[in-house]
Amino acid sequence: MPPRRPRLLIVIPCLNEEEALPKTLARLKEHVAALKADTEIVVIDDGSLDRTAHIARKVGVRVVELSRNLGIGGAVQTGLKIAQREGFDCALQLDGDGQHPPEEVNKLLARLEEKPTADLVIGSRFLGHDGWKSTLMRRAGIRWLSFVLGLLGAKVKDPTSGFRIYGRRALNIYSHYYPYDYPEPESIAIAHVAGLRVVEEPVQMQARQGGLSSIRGLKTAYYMLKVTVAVLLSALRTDLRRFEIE
Amino acid sequence: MNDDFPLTRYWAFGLVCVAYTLFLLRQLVKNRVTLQNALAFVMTFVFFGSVAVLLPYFPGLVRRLGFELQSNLIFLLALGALTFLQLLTLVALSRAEIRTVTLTQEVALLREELVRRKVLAPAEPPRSLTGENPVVPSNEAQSG
Repeated sequence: MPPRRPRLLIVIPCLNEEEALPKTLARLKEHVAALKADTEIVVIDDGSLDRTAHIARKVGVRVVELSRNLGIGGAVQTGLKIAQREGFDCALQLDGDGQHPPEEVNKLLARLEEKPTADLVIGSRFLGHDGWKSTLMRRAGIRWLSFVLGLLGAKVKDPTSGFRIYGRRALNIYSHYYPYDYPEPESIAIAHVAGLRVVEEPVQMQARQGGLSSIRGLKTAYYMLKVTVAVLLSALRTDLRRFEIE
Repeated sequence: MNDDFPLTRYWAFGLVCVAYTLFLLRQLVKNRVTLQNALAFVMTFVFFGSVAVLLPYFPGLVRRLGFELQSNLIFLLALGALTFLQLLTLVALSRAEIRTVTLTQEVALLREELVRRKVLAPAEPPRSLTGENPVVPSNEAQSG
């Protein structure tokens, strides 16, 4: 009997992505057949004011519409809750702005199932040499966050990457604990403190196809401060250590 | 004012505390604020109202605590109380935020589940106030 294919839920958090989403979904649908998993796609519309949900529905994917904007963390967690409750083996987070190429998903999937099994696989821009690597300022910020995570013992080169795949154990913990605000680095800290195995896989990313990053101007300073404090505080969280992951 | 009658020295401050307390009690009676969240505020105002009225009777105590003026002690206590109240508000606000996020997620998930299972039937015509017959548009009623 052939081994059972894993069930994968692709979670696409979106806020006002009517410009880029059609291309992202079209490209993703082209590649779904090539994925080594039984795949479902869900778009989490994070309180968009444009036609994001309508466009996603027209393409024929599942759409969850949040009645108010919760931020990227709240949106991603909604998708992870679906995956956890409906018994998916893993969930992939993919941005709606076209930064994450679907061609790379199989690499992340393969890494998730490689022994010893990982709980969270992060697609890293900085392990390979090709592809888009973000601006100089952002790379400096990413290095800093990588250093802060290193203080906790988590070795991650691309802590802000939102291109990642969550295994079953990660789904169990993140459906309960997932940061709402600028979640990526803090979620790695949570995983580390909770005893999950986090690995990185080199991937190529692209510049966003539309829309604007939420982290710009004065928000950058707030972002760096908030995330640094959040990561360091995670080390003190006893609730994560006590959490029954299985 | 007569300085031999210390009750008069901070009467205005005491009155403000009484006014705030009465306002809060009114909000409580009308169910606009919850007792568990308002209790610390009520106790603070009652405490400061009492301090404003009674402190002038204990000038020795104020000096023993290291304050030249009674008003300095009241000011310092008020700062501490405000910080404490702010902290309680922060906790209540954070709890409310977490609950709001969870509720928003759960409502969205339930709606999606309903849509997927096609439980959301096409909209029914609005019912009359008695709930017995659908309201028929007037032109249809006339023609029918």
